[in-house]
Amino acid sequence: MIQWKFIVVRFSILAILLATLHFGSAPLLDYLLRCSVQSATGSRLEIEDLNASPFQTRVSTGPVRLGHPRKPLENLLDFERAEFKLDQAMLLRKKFIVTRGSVEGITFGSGRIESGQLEKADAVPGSQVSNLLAEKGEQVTEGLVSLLTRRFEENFETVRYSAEVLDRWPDEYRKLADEAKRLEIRIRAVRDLAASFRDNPLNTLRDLPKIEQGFRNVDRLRNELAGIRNRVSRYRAQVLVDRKNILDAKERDLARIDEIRTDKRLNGRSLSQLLVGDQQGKRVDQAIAWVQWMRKTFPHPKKTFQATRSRGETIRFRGQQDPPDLLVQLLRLSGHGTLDRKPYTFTGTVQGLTTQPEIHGQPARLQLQAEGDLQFTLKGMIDRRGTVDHDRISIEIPDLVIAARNLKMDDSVQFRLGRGRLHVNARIDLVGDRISGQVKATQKDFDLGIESEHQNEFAAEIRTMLNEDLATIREYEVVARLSGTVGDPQWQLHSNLGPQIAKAMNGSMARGYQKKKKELVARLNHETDQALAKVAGLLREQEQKVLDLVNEKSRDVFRLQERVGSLLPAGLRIR
Amino acid sequence: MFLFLYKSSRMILTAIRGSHSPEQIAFGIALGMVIGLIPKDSLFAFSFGFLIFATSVNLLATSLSAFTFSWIGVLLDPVSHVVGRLILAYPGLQTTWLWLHELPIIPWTRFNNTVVMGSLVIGLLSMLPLYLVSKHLCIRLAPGLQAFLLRFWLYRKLAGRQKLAGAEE
Repeated sequence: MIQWKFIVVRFSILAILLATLHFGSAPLLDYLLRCSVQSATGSRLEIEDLNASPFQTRVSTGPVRLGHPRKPLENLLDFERAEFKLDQAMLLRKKFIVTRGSVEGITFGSGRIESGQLEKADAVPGSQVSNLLAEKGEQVTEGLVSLLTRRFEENFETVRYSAEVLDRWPDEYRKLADEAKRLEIRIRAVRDLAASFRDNPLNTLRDLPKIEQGFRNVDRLRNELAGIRNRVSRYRAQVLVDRKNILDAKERDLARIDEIRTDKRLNGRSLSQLLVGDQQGKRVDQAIAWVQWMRKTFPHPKKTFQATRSRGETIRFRGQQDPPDLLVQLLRLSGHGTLDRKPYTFTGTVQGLTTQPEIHGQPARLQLQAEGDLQFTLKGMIDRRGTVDHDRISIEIPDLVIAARNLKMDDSVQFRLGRGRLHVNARIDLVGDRISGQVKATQKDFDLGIESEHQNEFAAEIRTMLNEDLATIREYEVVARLSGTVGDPQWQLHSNLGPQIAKAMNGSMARGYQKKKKELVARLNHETDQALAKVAGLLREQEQKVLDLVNEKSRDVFRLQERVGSLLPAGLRIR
Repeated sequence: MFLFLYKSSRMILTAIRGSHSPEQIAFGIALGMVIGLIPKDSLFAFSFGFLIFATSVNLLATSLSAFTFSWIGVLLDPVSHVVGRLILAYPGLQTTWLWLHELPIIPWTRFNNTVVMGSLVIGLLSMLPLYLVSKHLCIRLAPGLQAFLLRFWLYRKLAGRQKLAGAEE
């Protein structure tokens, strides 16, 4: 006999248990989700209005916020609403198939009032890029800055030597003139003596010794005047030697001018690193971060989610064709975000996400389409079917506006990169731990120039020429080729910007130097001609002046000699 | 009011406790054994749980049995695995297993797990012998055991019995 009171009471208890299961599932799921996500990320997860039950095929939730592990007052991710529709028939077969789902209002990096950190996160190593840029910058800067700051030594040897010659010879000729002038006193003394003898001829014999002495003085004067004339001749020869020396100095100066070379040629590769390395590096870092995020977010289910159940073995029957135990067939995503202070909204889908990719037979695919100030298309493939994980991500940003910026090379020299539009295309593969692919950026319609505070004439000329040449560069391409591992990605930058700029700058520098050399040669020629003309004038003027003086004194001495000679008695010879 | 609450709680306790007959206790032990042996993430375990609630078996005996055989079941896993594998891999049953696997609800039983199948079969085969042994033991040992247990206040409250005259000393 059925004991109804047993059955009624027991089924009442059973009903209470089932009700508890129904209504308690959501809080339990909430708790489990928070525990697992918080322990995995180290940041706070807040879920509102989670609605789940084992007796229904719909799971939904209200706002969800996941704090940023490293930024206390920022959310790593939050969304307004999510809903997942499960396949009922498959659910009865113990298969969780999300036929369609949606996550709406996704936001990355939104602010929050309370800290989203649970514990202090480990310090994250700095950017993988921009490590060698300072060094590269120095290499380039050294050449450019030394060029712009260079002051040519314009104290030619020719000028120095000419000045010395022109300074020396007037003194020498003045000394000769002074010597000739000093003879005048002695000439006058002899003349006075001769005059005294003429006034009193009877004393000739008595004064004969004095006459003899005067005669000898006249002879000495003649000799000294001849000596001066000889020195004038020597000086003339020496001046001609000095003139030749000036010309030799000019040749040496010309050789030095010819030796002036643009020894610091700019290296295009280094210049590319310096100019676009940091920005491209950021883009590469972002692309790598996406791949790393995909690898981290979608780990290999078999390797990562080892079944805790170890009792027995689940037999797969011959001919059994099951879908995976958990499969997200289609999940629609929508939200908004900000990148480089550019707001954008995005929509996208996730397809084929499963815990058993080898059974599903297809890789999971992610697609995001962003609109707004920042437009991009992101496609991702997550393949966990084999033993080696394979991820692929491709990003296309068709029209990224790049703000103008200055790139300082040192305190006084900087490049000015004007506002432009960038087309970025990236494709990265991650097979196992090996990373490969490239990030390519093409920029069109931008202004490029150089600014320098150096005010010397040559710097100004070079700057003008450089800016003229740089203005002709209207397009460049930067390609970063990736290699290495996901933990230690390496990339090599290839760009035609650096070589273009280097070509323009090296050309400008060469022209600048050539122009400067011509100016120096012209200046040297002018200086030399002036110096030689001065030397010639000096020779002509000073020498003539001395010679005139010497000739005049010679004539005086000659007349004096005749006069003194006429005082002597006939037949008397003075020895 | 208090009388109503007291009577209600007594009725619930009585309903939960179930029958004291040796058959119901033995059946409870046998069912508890099956539940204990089968891994709990199988729908089989829940089905047997429903069966317990649907009958007037002694719940205390069933619970103690399920708890005890849960530990024994773990120790018996290697045997269950071998038995389950033999059954599931039996060529003649493959079509049946496949058909069952594609039915709704059935996959939740995890019948294709070797330990689940093995422990289910072992449990079902052991039910009758265990029932008979338990019933025999209950008949022989129950009076003495009850007299012993009636000395304890908690048992008396749970069992709803008064002290026996001999046990009051």
